[in-house]
Amino acid sequence: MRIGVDGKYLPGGHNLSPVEKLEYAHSLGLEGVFFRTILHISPNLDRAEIQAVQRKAQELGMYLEAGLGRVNPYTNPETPELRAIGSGDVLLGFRRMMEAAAEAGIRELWVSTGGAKPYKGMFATDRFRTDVTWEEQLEATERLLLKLKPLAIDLGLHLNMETHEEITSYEIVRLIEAVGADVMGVVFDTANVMIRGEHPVLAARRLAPYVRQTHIKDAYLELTDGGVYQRAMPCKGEGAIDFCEVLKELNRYNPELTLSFEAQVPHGGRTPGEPMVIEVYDPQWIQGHPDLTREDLAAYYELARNYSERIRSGQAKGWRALNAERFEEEEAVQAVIASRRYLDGLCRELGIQREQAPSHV
Amino acid sequence: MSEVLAGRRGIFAKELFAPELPVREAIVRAAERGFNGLYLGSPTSISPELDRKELEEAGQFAKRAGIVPGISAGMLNPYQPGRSAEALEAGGGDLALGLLRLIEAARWVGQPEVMLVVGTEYDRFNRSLEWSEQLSAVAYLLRRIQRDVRSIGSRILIKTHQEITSWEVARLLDQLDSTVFAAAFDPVNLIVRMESPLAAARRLAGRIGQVHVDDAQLLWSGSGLARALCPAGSGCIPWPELIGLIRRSDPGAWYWGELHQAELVMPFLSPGWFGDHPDISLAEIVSWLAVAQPLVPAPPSLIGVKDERVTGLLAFLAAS
Repeated sequence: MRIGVDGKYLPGGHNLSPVEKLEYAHSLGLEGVFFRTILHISPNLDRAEIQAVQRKAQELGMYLEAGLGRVNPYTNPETPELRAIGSGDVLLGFRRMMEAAAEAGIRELWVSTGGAKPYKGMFATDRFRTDVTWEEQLEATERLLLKLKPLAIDLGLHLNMETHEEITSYEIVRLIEAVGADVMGVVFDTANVMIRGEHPVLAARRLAPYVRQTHIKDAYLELTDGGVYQRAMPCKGEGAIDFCEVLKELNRYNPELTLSFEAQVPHGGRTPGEPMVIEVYDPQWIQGHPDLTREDLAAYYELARNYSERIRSGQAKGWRALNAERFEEEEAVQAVIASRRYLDGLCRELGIQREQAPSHV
Repeated sequence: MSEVLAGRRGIFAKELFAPELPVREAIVRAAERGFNGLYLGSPTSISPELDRKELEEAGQFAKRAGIVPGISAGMLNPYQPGRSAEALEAGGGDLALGLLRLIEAARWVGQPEVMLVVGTEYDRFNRSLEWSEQLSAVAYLLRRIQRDVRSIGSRILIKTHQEITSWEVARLLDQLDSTVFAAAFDPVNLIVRMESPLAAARRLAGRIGQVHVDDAQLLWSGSGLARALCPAGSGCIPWPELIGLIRRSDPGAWYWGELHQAELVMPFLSPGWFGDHPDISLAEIVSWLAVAQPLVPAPPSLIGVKDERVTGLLAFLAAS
């Protein structure tokens, strides 16, 4: 396995070009960059631009990953650049992005069903929309993926669905079963699954056969009135997730997996507010998770309880204390460095092979 | 609260009085305290030989004192006859006959409703014998005696004891004559089966003959939750809403203060646990978890600290 970073939230890297991002990440000791979408590598899919990035990655011996974007037709319009790159034709836009990626030897492409919304509670994601049901959104997503399938086969690509905040591991498995594991995989975001009440290790176990990319981050969990507080944390061993167990599950199926940190955004001088609450006690929330078993929920509850106990006993910091800590760019960069060290240590402890292979070419 | 329960408020004798206290004295003292009823337990505690005259006289004494006696016919699991010693003795070895004799004895004391407990947690988790088998045997036996119970003019109240769920009690009642059988609703036991007391009360609505008043907290036990008994009103049982619900569905129900003794655990993280509870939904389990206090360390046992719990019970049940 190799350890790298998601290119969208690379701390200290926002003003850098893709080539510079690779160099910068390399300087931090990272072994690859997962650019969220190929449009981040080149907004116009300029071949020369893309080749320059590919060459830099090869030169530095780094992995290079990218993505397409939202394959849920109900959320795709929120990223109009996806239609623009197809000159108004969404399918053509995907085709153009896929061809550009394939040409650059990028075979693992992130896709998702949506993005976070600026609302609290049920409407923080698209899952509980009132204009269209989540089932309908999944059906539409499946239809679009089936349209992309022949092209993905031709080009030898995998479209990897992220365990994003709105979707469950059960739903992703069903999508893969419908579309085919020959063209579809998973971007396993280790913390997002808990937003859907899923224990990270159980989710990892369920998805491991299909995981081809990752977003690695830890999380703060705390039982509170109305549910469970959750907030993303750097992967340094201070959060609720047992990365040992998660890595074991993933390693079973994909020992060459790339582990890409999704870094936390600096506070920008503002103190964060209360963490988001996962409303697990709300009957509507429960109803919205028909696949979640009693055993799933019990495991998740135990995880939240145990971390809450650590907070109570002073072994872990409460969210107010965390809010009071400075977390600007400097700290965000240090967090990535510390995360790399932590994950590297875990890999070695578990005997997970840490190869220094060049990127996907 | 007091107006709701007026006239139908009692307490188990064991909570207030030493077991050696003569029945008549216990009745007088209960009346002095303002109770309408005193749960005495088995008819043999009034008359060891189940002598009709003795029982009738005691019944009349209670009536004059303004106290309704609460009577129990003990435990009934045909697969565990050892627990039904009194019924077996009363029936000369015939469990069904013995139960009828105890029910008749209760009638002589003036109490037409008799509580019955199915079994214990051991029975539910018995790996040699399916719980469903045992429930079938219970249903079979009760069906056999129901005509006789009806002709005696009595009713049997099946208690939601520690081992049984409200669904299982409801299914038992579904198989039985509804004029003869109902439920003794005990929420402090239902939380051991992970139920929401309010949801359980809705499931048994219209069939609740009596309600057992006690309280408990749900604390962390390492592999799940533990029931930590506590003074009435200070635990997780939503008493005001529960009484509000039951007064509408079962306005004639009696309320008996009873201090439970068993410290039971619900190790729901154990493999197979949920499989042993097929009826309960994720939604209800979540509502059960919502009232737990999994970060509060388990206090020293409150079972021995009886006074505090008795005081709490009395205060809770007392007229304002």
